[in-house]
Amino acid sequence: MDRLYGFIIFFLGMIIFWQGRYLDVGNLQEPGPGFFPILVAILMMILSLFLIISRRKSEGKFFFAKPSIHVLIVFVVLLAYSFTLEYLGFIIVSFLLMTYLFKAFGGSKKWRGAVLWALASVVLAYLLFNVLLEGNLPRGILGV
Amino acid sequence: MGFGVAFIPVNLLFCFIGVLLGTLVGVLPGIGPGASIALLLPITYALRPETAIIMLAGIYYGAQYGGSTTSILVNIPGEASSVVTCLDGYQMARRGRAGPALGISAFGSFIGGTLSLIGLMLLGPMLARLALQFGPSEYFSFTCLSIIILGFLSKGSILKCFISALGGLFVGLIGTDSISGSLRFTYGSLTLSDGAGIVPVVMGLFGVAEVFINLEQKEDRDVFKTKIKNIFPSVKDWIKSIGAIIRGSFIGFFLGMLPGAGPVMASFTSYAIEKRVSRHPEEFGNGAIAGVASPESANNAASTSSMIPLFSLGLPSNVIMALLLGALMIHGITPSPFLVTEQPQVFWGVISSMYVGNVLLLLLNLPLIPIWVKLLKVPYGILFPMILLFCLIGVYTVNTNSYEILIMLIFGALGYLMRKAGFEGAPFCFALIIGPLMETNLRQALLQSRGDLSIFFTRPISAVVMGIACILLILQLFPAVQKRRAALKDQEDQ
Repeated sequence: MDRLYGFIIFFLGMIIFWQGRYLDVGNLQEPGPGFFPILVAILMMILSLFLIISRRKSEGKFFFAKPSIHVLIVFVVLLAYSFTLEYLGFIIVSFLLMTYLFKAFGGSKKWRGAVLWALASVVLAYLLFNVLLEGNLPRGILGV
Repeated sequence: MGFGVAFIPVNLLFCFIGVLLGTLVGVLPGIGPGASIALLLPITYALRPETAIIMLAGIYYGAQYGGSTTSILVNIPGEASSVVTCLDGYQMARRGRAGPALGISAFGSFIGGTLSLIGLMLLGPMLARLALQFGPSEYFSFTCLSIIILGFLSKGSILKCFISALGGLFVGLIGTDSISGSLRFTYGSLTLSDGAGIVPVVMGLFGVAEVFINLEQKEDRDVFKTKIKNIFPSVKDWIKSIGAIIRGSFIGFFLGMLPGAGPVMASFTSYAIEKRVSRHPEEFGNGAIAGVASPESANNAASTSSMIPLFSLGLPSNVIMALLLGALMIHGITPSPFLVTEQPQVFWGVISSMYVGNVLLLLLNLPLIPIWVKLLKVPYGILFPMILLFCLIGVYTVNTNSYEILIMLIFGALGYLMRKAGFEGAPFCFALIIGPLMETNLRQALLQSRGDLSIFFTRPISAVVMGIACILLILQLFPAVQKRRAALKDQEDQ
């Protein structure tokens, strides 16, 4: 597995190197904006080579089974949140999100409980961030 | 003068809020002082600089107090710096001695923090005067040293730690180059032209990623059911612990100052040394009270002394300090050796508030323990959604920019994947923040020396620091050191 990571990192380093060539590297007397990025990219590629050839046994504790599908779903939902937040407004989107989350994380076994908790947390957050701290939570279609 | 600042009602209030939050965050596993400080950065905009730092610092050392509560009662460390406390603390709890364990932990933390504070008070201004001789080459050498010390601290492979740090260095480059003004890696995004942002990245890597990881593991928490009596340790307990406390405080004080080290390293080292020095080493791991007193004093001493480099030199010694650096810069203050003289209310105000804070924490941690215990019973299923919500909103309110939520989520995913692959998040974050400092100083040093690389080795202070860095780098690669690290890691895994 480590070898795979090594290849990925090497690839990333190459990308940085390639993209960084647009920046002026300068020279030792006058290092330009591209100087450090190139340095970082080169180091990354060197270290990843070590990773590729290393024969260490992978540490058992860090390598779980495959990434869980739950996490992926939650991630997508959160992405959706970030995209719809400014259109639909804080209250609606957060309420929907929290209802889903409380159910998904097991905080509540039934939808009714999740809805109640969602209500409570959105109200709390609204009071805290918009009223008390005078934040600027998006108003969206509800106008609040 | 400092106490005058510290006792202004606003500052007292925020000191209290800070330490309270810190204890809370410390008690709750899964959310740490890093993510919470990042979350609260936006709120500090409205406060005066010293008030902001008073509160944020309170969160930091408060978390060192709180972290031990879960270590002792549930065998789950609330913070990385309380991992070692689990070893003896939980054993003491199992023998019905949870009370004295909690008590000595609180008292040890208090003594450690206070002693370290005295050191900070004496050493800080002295160091600032020394630092006036520092130039870019010295600063660059220090940053190199910090990154190299990170390797010692990493739990997994050193190679991966450094690769992680390189990743952080890269992300720190995104945005507008301060020296030339050119845009780097922004691809036309207005949001990115300001940089990826400390708040979104740290909250993503530490907050969101942590939640993702916990989503997978259903952990059962068995809060210890015995009644907690007798929080005050007996005289015998004190006799056994006082040496540990004093030693722990000194070790913590010195290790906290080292760039890249900090409370975690301090607690481990102190425990290891205490075990070696003890007349009854076999007791360690079975409920030796010194095994609780030592790391707890060390981690508090370290969290206090880790503020020294920031306040005297303007260099953050770990991620949390880097966040405090960010907070100061938000208020237009660039920490430097001149901070002590130019902004005395910040320097002395924060120090005196820390005395107050430690007292408050002692009061908070002893009688209020039953409340914290109840808090532990809040199911993760309720806690994590709320943490996520707060992260999402918090990030948004920094710049009223929903793209920053996107950045946070991306780094959350990245942090999750990194964790699964064995790459740690802390080196990444540290490098992210210290990267720009590193680069600016490197470039300025080279400009000064007209391209002469030897400047880093010819200027005396820089040479010494670079020398230490090189030695440490080579040391890390030796098998002997690796074995010792593996042993420490095994202790931690138990």
